[in-house]
Amino acid sequence: MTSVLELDAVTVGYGRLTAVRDASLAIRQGEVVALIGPNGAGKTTLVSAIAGLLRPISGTIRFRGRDITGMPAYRVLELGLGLIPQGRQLFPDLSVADNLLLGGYSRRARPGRDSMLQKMLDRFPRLRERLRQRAGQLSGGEQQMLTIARTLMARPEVLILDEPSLGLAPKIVEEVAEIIQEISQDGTSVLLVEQNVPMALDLASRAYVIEAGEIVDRGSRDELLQRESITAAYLGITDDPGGAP
Amino acid sequence: MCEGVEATPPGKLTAGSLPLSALGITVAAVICVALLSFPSLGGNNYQLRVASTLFFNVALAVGFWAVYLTGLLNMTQIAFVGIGAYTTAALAIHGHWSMWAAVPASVVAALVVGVVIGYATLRLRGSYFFLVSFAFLEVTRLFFTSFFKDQFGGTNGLTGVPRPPVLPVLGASVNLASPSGYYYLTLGLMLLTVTLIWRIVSSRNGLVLRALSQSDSLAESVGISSFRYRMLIFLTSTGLAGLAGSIYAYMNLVVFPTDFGLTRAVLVVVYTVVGGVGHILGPMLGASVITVLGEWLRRFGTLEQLAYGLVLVVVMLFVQGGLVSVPGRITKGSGRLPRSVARTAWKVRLQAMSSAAWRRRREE
Amino acid sequence: MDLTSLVQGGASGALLASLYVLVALGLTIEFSLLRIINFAHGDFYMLGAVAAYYLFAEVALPFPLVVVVAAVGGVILGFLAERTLFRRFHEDLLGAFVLSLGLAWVLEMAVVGKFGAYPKGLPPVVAGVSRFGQVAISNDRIMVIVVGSLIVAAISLYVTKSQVGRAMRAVAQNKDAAALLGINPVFVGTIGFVLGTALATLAGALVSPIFSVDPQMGVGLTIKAFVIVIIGGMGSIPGAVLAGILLGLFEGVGGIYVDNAQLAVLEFLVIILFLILRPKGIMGSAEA
Repeated sequence: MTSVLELDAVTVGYGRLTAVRDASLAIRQGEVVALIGPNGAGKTTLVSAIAGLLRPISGTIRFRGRDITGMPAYRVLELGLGLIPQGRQLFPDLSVADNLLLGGYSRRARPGRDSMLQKMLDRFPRLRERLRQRAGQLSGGEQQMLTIARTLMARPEVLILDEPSLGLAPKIVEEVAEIIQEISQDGTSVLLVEQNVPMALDLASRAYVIEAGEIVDRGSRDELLQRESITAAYLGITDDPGGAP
Repeated sequence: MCEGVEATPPGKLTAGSLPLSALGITVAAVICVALLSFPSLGGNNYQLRVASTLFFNVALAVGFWAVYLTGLLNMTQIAFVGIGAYTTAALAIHGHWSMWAAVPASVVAALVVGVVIGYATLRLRGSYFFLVSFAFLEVTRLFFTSFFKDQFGGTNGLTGVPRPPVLPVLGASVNLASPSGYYYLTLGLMLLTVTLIWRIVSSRNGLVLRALSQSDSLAESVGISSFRYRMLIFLTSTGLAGLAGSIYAYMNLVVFPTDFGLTRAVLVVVYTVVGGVGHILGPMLGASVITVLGEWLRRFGTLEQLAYGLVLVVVMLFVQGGLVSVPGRITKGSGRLPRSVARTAWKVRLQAMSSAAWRRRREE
Repeated sequence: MDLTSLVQGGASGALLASLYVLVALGLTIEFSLLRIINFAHGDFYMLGAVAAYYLFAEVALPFPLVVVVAAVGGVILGFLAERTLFRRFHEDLLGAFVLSLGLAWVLEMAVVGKFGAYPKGLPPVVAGVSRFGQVAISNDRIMVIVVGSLIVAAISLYVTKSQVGRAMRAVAQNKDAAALLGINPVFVGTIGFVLGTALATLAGALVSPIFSVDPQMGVGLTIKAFVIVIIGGMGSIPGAVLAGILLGLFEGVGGIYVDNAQLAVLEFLVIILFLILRPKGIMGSAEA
């Protein structure tokens, strides 16, 4: 089976400082893959490089066989790769409607934009109620829904979500998980970046583990759940009470 | 999006000052001796006058550069030159003050206004500071144009500043009102400016702040108050500007509001940028080259000013480190900041990030 | 207080306000998108006025055409200036400022060389004076106020309702997030710069029958526009409109009582106070 997204020995850094070294990973059509690791491991750096916000120092990134290494973000999106960035990067002073309409800015989103907008408002009815409000006034959960809906307007073939559960109440995290499942069922491939490992391994069939800028482990969900290093560090199945939700 | 750069544990920051080698000190000493003996070695009056202008401009450029290093584009400097010049002229003409009283009084006047302006503006972000400093320059000029016309003479300026006295130096007498007298006055101004600014800028805090001039919060996270450091540099530059203004009044014997307007302020920016901001030698070199070039360009009228503008644009586009970076580029293609500054910057950045990450982790 | 002179002052204020808003809009848009301060902005305004002088007083083109030509010239100039000069200085406040200082200098001196250093006046476009009771306002002034307000309204509409205008506001608030939605921030920035420059040259041509044309007319207006952008909140369009109107009226009415230099000193004190009390401006939140 061919990969839709393929990274080969990608190294990313800021100035002279390397944040991610020689990362290789692949995502196949329709898969949900998780990228897990502690805070500061380089997850956001890596997905920023994939989406074109950062230029890798070396290595190649291929999307549907096409080399997209160093391609600017707005062109990467046009090809069909969407990133929902960490921390709900909305345009806080714009209305909810404006935020959604901006999701339909790209050429790829333009055909059938209005029907897509209706579809999003049907799926996220709370956004419909708040169309005229400033996005900055929404609750954290609503903001996350809006960022997801906004990116889905462009109908990406591969969707990367960077820590979608961060800072959300457990009930909303469940809702987000449900949405990710739906997105995947529609045929979209998903790369899910999470510190919330139970949630990530619940959704994903495979996962990569990144620590201190290097991919240190990979495998199917079941394989990883067997590994003591994973269960101890991320699922808290030891004496350590911290970490597990 | 800066995760992944917390590799170094919080450590002690070392000074890493700019290198001041024995060779450098020797060269500086030789240059000083040569400059001091130039008038007696037969420099003619025209050369001495150009040299005085050059020293004066170097002093202004170095003072401007120092504030620029803290991330602020300070347009007030020429206003303080004006305040110094007007204080001297008014006290000497109306109050018959001697040079020994008028010069310090001018420095104090500049400093007093400087403290007020500094407290009001040095906490502002770069763009706001620039605007206010610019407005202050204009307002000071307007003040001398249309307020206290009896004291300041309005648009006619103040004429008839008394000549500076004859000084007995080591048995001989130096006439300060002669070309060689002005030569020594401005040379003294330049050496004082360079020495004071160099001491502040090459201190540990100075290096750190140069490195972090874009990020106050980062500087403050390693325990350095950028406000206090800015204040120190701003006031030093301001006091020196007042002194320069006082000397200006004694050199020209007349002062006009238009002497302290936008044109001169822009020229100081040109000196600094053309010379390069990476090293103190940059503004010194820029001011020297452009002063001499300006003497030559003067015969072309308005084309002179056009040329300044073009030089500024061309340097910004093609020689971003300024003249001072050219030798380095040729030999090793170096970047814009001197290496010691760049190194300090990285240490501080790492330390700030790792301590922030560390704090975060403890909170979790 | 004399009501007639107050209304007369208000009318001068309205004129200044339309000029200020037109020029400040461009500056605030450029800042919000590129994080630069273009010191040559007022000199584009000056170029518009100088062009109007040649086209209207010497070539005798119809005035509406003169204004359109000035605006189109601004589009071309803005595009060239952004591409060749400012492109490398996005987000580099000091660098862009120094560069634009040089550009302002070059433009001014080049115009002095061709046009001469002294102010020149244009003949009136709509001759005559309209009377409202005791108050008399020249028809040219009314024309500028009306046309200026219409253009400001059109620009505001464009920025709030069009997809490109929405993209501009998005880039101003979060460049990376905008790029992730397929918006090219560099392209949008160029549009903003071109729009700003065209507004400046248009304003210069529009007011040329009222204020005399002079190569040095740009610098003062650049400063005024900065003041407005800061008081309105750096990068805020409604803020710039509001602050421009306030400053125009303040000067129009204040001009009755004190002379220009005193007004300038007063304004400076107000700005300092304002910055200390409310450093983010009336509507500011987008400062970098």
